[in-house]
Amino acid sequence: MALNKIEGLIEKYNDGATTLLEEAQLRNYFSQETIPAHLESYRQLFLYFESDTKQLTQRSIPLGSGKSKKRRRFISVAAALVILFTAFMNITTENDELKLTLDELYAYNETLKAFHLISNQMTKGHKTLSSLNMISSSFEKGKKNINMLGEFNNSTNKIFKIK
Amino acid sequence: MPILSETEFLFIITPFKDKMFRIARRLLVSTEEAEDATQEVILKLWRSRHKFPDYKNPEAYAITMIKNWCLDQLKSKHAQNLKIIHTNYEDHSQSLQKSLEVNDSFRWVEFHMDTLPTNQKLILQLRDIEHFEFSEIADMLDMNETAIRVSLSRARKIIREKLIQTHNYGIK
Repeated sequence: MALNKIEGLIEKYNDGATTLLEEAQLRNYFSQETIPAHLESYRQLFLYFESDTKQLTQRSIPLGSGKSKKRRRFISVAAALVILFTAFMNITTENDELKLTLDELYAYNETLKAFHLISNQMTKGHKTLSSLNMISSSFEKGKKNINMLGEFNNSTNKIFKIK
Repeated sequence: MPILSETEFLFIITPFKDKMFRIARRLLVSTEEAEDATQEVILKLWRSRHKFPDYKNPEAYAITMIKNWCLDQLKSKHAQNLKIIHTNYEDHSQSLQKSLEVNDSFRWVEFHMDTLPTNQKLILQLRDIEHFEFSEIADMLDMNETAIRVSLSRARKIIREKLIQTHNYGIK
């Protein structure tokens, strides 16, 4: 392109009056290597503009928040259903307990008493066991004392030998 | 109107999500923050996708949203001193990294663009990098076309003057 035409375009460009097409022509002109020295600063400018268009996003954006929202709504409904169901079951089982006959209740109470008795005996047994424990610990003490006596014996033997 | 599926949504968003990112980066400077902003705005669009087919120009709508988001970010940053220190630190590491990989003259253009007032910066980005029509820019920024042409012209001239200054400074 003729130099005077380029200079005309640049003037228009500086006045903000160029069209997109004319600006594309300018970019194209300044992408070549040999540029008159007085236009060098424009070359810098247009090459920079070109280079900046190569800046791209590196990040991929995780969408799908809409889907998970739907799923969350479904889960909350399911949870509510489960709670209602268990509550319903609890009420019905409580009703079953109430249906026990007097005889059955009596048997239930008697067995409870029997278990109580057994557990009482167990705790007593446990106490006697603990006294046995005490005896065994005193045995341990005695054993230690005997050991000490043995040592004493050893040393007296040594003394005798020296003599 | 049926709600957009994920693929339909991505089909609409993909052509201009990089533009959103670049605009965010121009305003917030830090790449990391620009990624955050883009993600937030896209998620916002996704959540309100039932309204999406009503917009005659989803791209302009998305870009208006990211612009507003970033301006809000900048405003709240002014209120919090700690954040300013943080981003200063980030800018520094970024420019250091940049100086290694990108042409030095590019860095100057970027630097001069940063010093422009926010509105001029945005207009320059939308026109000279993203190649939007004046009518579209007018929609996005809620300004009339003449005002846009005036600030665009001002921005272009300022950048050019500063470039010539730094160029001469390097020689003399």
